[in-house]
Amino acid sequence: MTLALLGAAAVAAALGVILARNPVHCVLWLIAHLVATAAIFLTLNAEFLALVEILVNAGAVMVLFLFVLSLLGSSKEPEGLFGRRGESVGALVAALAFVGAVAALSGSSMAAAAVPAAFGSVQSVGVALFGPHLLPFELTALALAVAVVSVVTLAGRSRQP
Amino acid sequence: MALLAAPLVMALVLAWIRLPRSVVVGLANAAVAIAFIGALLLRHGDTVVGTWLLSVPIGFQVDTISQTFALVTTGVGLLIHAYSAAYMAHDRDLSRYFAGLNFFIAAMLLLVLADGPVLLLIGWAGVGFASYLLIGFWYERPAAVAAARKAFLINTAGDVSLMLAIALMVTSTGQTTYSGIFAGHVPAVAVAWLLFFAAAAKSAQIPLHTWLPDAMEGPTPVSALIHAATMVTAGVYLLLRFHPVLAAAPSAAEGIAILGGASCLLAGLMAIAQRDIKRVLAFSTMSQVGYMFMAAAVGLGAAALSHVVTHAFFKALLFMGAGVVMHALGGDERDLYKMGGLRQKLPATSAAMGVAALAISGFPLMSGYFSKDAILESLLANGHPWLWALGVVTAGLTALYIFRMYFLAFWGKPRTQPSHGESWLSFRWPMAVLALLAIVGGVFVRPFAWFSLTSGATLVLGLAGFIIAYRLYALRGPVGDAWLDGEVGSLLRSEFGFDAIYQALIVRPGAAIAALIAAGDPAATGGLATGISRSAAAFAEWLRGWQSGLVRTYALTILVGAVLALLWVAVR
Amino acid sequence: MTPYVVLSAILFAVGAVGLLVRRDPLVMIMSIEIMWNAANLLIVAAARFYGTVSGQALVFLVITLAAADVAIGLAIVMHVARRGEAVDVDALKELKG
Repeated sequence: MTLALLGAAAVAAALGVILARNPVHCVLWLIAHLVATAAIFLTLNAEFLALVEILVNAGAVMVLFLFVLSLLGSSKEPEGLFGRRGESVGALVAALAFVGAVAALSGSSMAAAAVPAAFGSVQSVGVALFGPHLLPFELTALALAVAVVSVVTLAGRSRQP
Repeated sequence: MALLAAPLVMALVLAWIRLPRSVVVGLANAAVAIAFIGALLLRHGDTVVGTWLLSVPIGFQVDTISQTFALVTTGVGLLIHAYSAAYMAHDRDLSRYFAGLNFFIAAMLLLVLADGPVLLLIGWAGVGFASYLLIGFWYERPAAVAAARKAFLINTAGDVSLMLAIALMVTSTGQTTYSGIFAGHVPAVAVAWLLFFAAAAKSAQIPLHTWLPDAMEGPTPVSALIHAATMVTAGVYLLLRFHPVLAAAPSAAEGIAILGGASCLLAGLMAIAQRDIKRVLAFSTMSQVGYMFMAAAVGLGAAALSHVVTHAFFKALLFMGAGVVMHALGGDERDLYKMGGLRQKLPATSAAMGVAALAISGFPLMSGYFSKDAILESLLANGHPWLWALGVVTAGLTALYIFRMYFLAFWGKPRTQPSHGESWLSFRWPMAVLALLAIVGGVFVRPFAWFSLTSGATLVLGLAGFIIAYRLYALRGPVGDAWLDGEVGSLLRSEFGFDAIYQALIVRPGAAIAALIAAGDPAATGGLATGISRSAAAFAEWLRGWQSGLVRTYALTILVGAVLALLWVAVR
Repeated sequence: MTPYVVLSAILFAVGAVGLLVRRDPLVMIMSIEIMWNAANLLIVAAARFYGTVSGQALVFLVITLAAADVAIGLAIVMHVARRGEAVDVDALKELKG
């Protein structure tokens, strides 16, 4: 039951993102979507992740979006939402096909495995990250560094006179 | 045995290293001399050297046939090398000449000493190649180039035939040595005819003889060695070596002998009508080889072999004399009509040529007498009366044409004054040796009956030929050829039209096909290449259309692709 | 597990549609963000059902990378916006051909 409610909320928020005209509204809808997703994480024994989701995504990333929006001013969406009809129809059809395909893939309806109490705690995730998955962790850090450099290069003050 | 490799080594050396002229001559002659000593020292038996690729072992077989041929090749070859030293002294390409000549000796040795047909084929091809090189030695002369090409093409036809024969033999017996092949079972008739074609090409027998007269464009020593003494006898060697196969296909052997007899007779006829002194000798060679083919085809190997040896002596001598004559008249004059009365200025040469002419006519007690009569007697004794008749008639023709040549050149009034004499010592001693051998060479042949029907017939006909030649030509000169001005004469002069037939049947259609291909090829292969490149470019252009630059289209494409991939996974 | 798969698929589809239909690049990046989240949801559910924490570690890394991705995307948008006119994805066709 909880899942149904939360799931509906997430879907509604996502629809709000793609349908809203004003980009700021889109950001707000996205924040709502992220909160719903975090709640679903909680039901899945992923407490640490739920927290991370809120802090990083809803917090930092969305704030970043708002900053950029404010810097760019309100963008005038040139046209209505569904610009070229064929494209939109095609997009919708593809999306439906995707849904159906994925649904077809879910074959296993097994029962949830038994998990220890501290399944999704910070400690267990930390142990996993710094233990068997140390290399991906470090590489991700490297990727972040690269991202920082590229962002500074791209968006920094232009050198043109 | 290893001494026999000397000419091969020397050929390679002379081909690639520049040396002063006297050194070249000395080295070339030394190499052949070494090989001659090696041939003398050969002992009968087999030698296996090692394995080669395709698991054909390299081995050599020394028996009477191969040692005889080796001795003739190196011995007469040595004499001709010495003669060449003087004859080619002024030529600017001395190194190339001697390299080619040495290479020829090496290839011929390989041919005769091989212990199996595969190795023989290598030597066979080698002598063909050497012949091509040396016929076209003066490559600035278009006639020489054309003659070399003609010889090589006809020889190649024979090579293909030989390859087929070898393939048949090796695949049907699984062996690559003579002893192995003869122990097994081969399709004898097919192999025999294929061998004949190969031998006929190499030895200028009908129907593959048209290259030999043209081959006289090469230097005279080359004609002496390759086209008289050795290479043209390679065909005879082939028939001798494969006599078990011929014996197993008597009808084919008979056919081969008949063709050899035809060559013998027709060449004799054609020789009578020639104006070019070397062409007379070329047809003479063809005729004498016809004798050898007749004998070898029906299994009379000893007689054939003996004629190979004696023919080498007097034919080489004849060519050498012709060379002196040509040299003396300045400018390589070959037209008999322009010669005459040369026995005053060239007495030694005249004597030597006379000896050779007598030998080839089968004058009693000379070498040619013994070998030719050996063949004829054996033919008659073994039940081939028609072949015997062909040979006897040709003996008369032989005397006729050879003495016609002799009298036109050396008797009568001089029609051109000779500018040189016989001053070269190097001319004289090889010719002297050969003259001696031509006289006494008969000791190598076991004499048959001293007097018999055969020897009587040949004596009578030979005398008749001699007398006719004397009457027509000795005093009257070229006027004596008046009897050739009729239809018979034109038939003989056109060499029975063989060349014309081949031109119409083979050369012209071949050239037409080649021209057709040459015209169509740029369109075909060029079009193919251009077509491929154009279609590649067109494909690239089509692909380019997909790069619309619109991000959303790209995203749609990616999504569609992902959906398809998922569906594919789901279906499986 | 099935409801989670379906939910994730729906969310992914919504994000895909948003990416394809909208022309404002910022909204497109947000749609991509929705797609990231859908995937994360699926992985967390799978981690729960198979009982491995590695799944959650993976999601952690994915969130990080998603953030980096968004940052770079926004930097690009800012760069393009500097040219003056409104940013319309359909007008950015310089890479055509």
